[in-house]
Parts: sequence; structure tokens; C-alpha cells
Amino acid sequence: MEKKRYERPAIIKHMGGLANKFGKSQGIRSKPEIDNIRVDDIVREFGSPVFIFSERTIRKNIRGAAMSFGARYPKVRFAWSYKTNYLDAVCGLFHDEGCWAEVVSEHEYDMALSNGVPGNRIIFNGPYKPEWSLVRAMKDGAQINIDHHDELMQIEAIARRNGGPAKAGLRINLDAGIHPCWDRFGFNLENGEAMDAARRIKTGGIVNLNGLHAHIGTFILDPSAYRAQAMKLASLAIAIEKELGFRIETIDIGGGFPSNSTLHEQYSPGEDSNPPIDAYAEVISSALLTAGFSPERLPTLVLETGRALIDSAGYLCASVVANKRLANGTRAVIIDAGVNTLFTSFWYRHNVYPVEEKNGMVEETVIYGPLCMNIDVIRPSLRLPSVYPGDLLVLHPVGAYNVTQWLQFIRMRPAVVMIGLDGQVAGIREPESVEYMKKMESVPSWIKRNGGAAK
Amino acid sequence: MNRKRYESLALSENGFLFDTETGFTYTLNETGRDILQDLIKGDGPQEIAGRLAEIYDVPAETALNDSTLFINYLKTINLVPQDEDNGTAGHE
Ligand SMILES: Cc1ncc(COP(=O)(O)O)c(C=O)c1O
Repeated sequence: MEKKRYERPAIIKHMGGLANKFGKSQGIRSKPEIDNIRVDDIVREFGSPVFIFSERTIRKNIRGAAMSFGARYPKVRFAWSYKTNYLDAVCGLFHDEGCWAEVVSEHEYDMALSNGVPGNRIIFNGPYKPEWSLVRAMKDGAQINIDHHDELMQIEAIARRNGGPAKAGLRINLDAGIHPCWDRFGFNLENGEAMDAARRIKTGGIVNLNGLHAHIGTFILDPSAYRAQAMKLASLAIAIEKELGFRIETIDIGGGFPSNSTLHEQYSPGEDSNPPIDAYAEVISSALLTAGFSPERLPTLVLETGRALIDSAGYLCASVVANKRLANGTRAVIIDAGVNTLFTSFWYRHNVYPVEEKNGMVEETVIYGPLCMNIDVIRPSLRLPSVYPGDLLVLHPVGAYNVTQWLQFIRMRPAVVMIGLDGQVAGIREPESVEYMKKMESVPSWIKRNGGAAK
Repeated sequence: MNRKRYESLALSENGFLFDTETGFTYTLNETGRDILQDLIKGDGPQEIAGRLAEIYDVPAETALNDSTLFINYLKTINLVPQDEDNGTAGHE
């Protein structure tokens, strides 16, 4: 007789007065494959945990976004936000799709150059740009967005030394009707500081103000904030052109569109409720088109979209290490990837899919990482079928910010893999080793390495 | 052992459990239901695990581990008397 499929015994108490919201179908599906490639095969080759990126999804995302904006506004430029994910293979795909590079440090600038991006297709942002990096960026013709008065004076001094005019944009902060209202970067619009900075540039007589830039925040779920932002930047551009005669060629609205992930405080899943990029494209384009620019002087709309383009293209596959019952009866599962690897766990409720189909009863579960730290919680609560040590789980979407903000802490950073359009699988970053990490250190000669032996 | 506790557990074929002593209701999955049914019948952990391994596609050792843990858990939530043998004796 054929034996029945086994499932770990489980019992769930019904909550008082409520209809039973537990039971069989909780929409927990399995994820045996990514882009038709078996996840367990990838783990066998590259180990666990492992980040997996999909070239197909990256290209689909950027083409979709370019289409959304391109259909509504005639002059659009995307610049890939390096900090969101600066793995060369990932940047390479965005550049191949026509994106410029948006960088916020001299290191990211180096990365862009080494990815073949010429300086004049780099947007250089950020509150700290060392003098030499400004010199280089000005020589290269990069688009520098000035963050504060001291930087403006630095740029003017460099230009004078070079004996020629320079061009630069201004980073603006403004009230787009959302909270928090970021006011620490750039010059404030509402209190007149931004216009004053433009006047100051005019008086200096050596810098040509050619662009306005603002990044109002990240994971902004309300498209109307961008309407406010675009309208305010457009009005400022028109005022500057009129009063000072500068030609504002670019209006750069930064990044900040949400991905299809779900924030901890969000009620419904991001996949269902986060506005699509079309909603943002619509309000931004119409704000710029109706702002009063003459058609022949319509500025180029620059987008530094990060998260929304890469998040859904990244997966993390991790292994179950153990099951536990907490003292209060809650079921806990420990996996081999912690918050040092999956930094976005602090913000997101990632989807968790068993690689192998589990059609058993689901139970409220907390997922812990392997670190010996109380904060190492990957999902404080989700409904998961029973799993065993060695079972694989896929966490998604994890493509944004994790492979830049990850920490080597207790455990090393894992391998990163890309699945190509034709199903090729290639490692794009090796897993780190103790050897790699310790290469940076040295022990002074006066420190004896006696391994704990008594004196 | 206090077998009276079991008299207040009404367990249906589809895994719905009504505890008449407390008024609480529960859902058990198939293996959970089998284990509780066997406990109510008066079986011990070794027999229970043996039967699981017979019916389901599971190694005997896993079946014993899982049922031991499960019976422990039933005790913590006061569905099973504290003095119910949970199988650890069998290991000693
Ligand atoms: C200046 C700037 N541009 C673009 C981005 C990318 O933002 P997001 O990933 O939210 O699209 C950031 C992120 O902090 C930023 O600071």
C-alpha cells in the first residue's frame, strides 16, 4: 500500500470569537524555480544562503519604467542609483539598458567609471564629496548636484583655479506633503534658501547652474507627493530662468518609488496595494508638462529610481536550521541567513516560500536568523507550513539595499548568483571567507599570540 | 494518570477539536489528529510513533521525535494530562 504523505503534527487554537483564519490555504505557495532554474540546483552549486538575481526581471523592470515615463514625457533619463545595488553585474545591466550612473561617493564614482560609464554620464550627489573628487568630476563633466554652501564655494574655487566656467546643479529640499520631510540635504525651497543659493551662484559668475535635484524620501506610497515635488521644482526652475537667466536643463526628482515589498507597518501586501510606477509617471509628467515651460525649453526629467527597479529581481534562498517552541508556545524556525545578510528585514515583511511544495497546515511562526543576537529576526510573524532542517526557503523581494548594506557580522556574506536571459547561471560575487576578511588586519609585534596559554 | 481529561475532548474525523472543559476549539492536521486519537484511545508514544511510520512516508525515528514533541506541546497547552507518558522514558 502506498504510504500517505507525511506532515509534522500540528494543532492550532482558534482565536476567541473570530472565525478561524488559519487552516489549509493561506496563499503560501512554493517556489521551486526562479526563471525556470531549479533553486535547489543553485544551492547545491553555490551554497546556502545565496542571493539570486534575475536578469530577465531587471530588464523587464527598467524597460517598463522607461516605457511608463517615455509614453508621457518626451525627455526622460534614468540614472542607476549605485547605493541601491552596486554589484558590477547588476549595474552593467542597467547601463546596457541606457541608464546613467547616480553616485554619492568617490568610491561609487570609481565603480561607475570601471563599469565603463564616462564621467559625463555620472550624476554626483551627496553631502560629502572630497575636494579631489570634485576636481575629477568637474574635469570629467559629471553632473554635480551641490548639497551646501561650503561645497558651492569649493566648486567656485576649483573653477577659478582651472581658469574656466563650471556647471552644476542644486540639491533642493522641499515640503512635498509627506513625513518625514527630509531637510538635511540641499537647500530649502520654502524658506527661500534655494533661490538665494541660485542668486549667489549668479553673483559668483563662474558656475553655470544647469539643473535642479530633489530626493524626497524612499518607499513613498503616495504619488501625489511627487506631483507637489515636480510642481515646486518646475516653478523654481522657471523663476531662476526668469530672474537669473540660467537655463535649467534637467529636473531630477531622485528616487523613492516603492517596490512590491510590504513594510512592517503596512496592512495589506505591497504586491496588491503599492501604486504601480505608471501612477507616479502620470502625476510627475503632467506636473512638468503643465508647469509653463515653453515647449522648446522643456527640461529633461531625470529619475534616480533604485528600489523599484531592482527589489523584485532579487531573491535570497536560505536553509532551515532548526525548529523550536518558544516558552509561550509560539513556533520558531531558525534559518541560516540573519539580519546581517538580509538588512531589509528591519523594514519589510518579506514573502517566504518553501522551495518544495508543502501542502500541510500552516501555523503562526517566527523566523530567526542564526546570529546570537536578540535582534536577529527575519519575520516576527508569518503563517508557514511545517518545515524541517535542510528545507530551503526563498525570501522575496530582496534585491534592493541588501547586497550593499549587508554586514560581515558573526557570519560572512554569502554568494550572489545571476540567472541570465537564456537560463545561464553565473556567480557574480563569491561567498566571503575568514581569509578574505582577515587580509585587511595585522597584529602589532608586541602582542603575543600565545593562544590563551597561561603565562 | 488522569484519563478523565480525555473525556472532555471531542475530536472529529476532520481534525476539529472541542474542549468541553474550557470551551476552546482547535484545528489539528492529519498527523496531529491521529496522535491525539491514539492518546485518547490509551496508546503510548511508542505505539503511536510506530503507527505513524506505518501509515505515513516517514522514518520511525522522525515519527517518534515529532510525536514526542507534539505530546509535550499538548501538555503545555493543557490538553493532555501532565503525567501522560511522552515517550522520553522509552529513550532512557
Ligand atoms: C539622492 C538619491 N537618489 C536616489 C536614491 C534611490 O532611492 P530609491 O531606492 O528609494 O529609489 C537615493 C536613496 O536614498 C538617494 O539618496
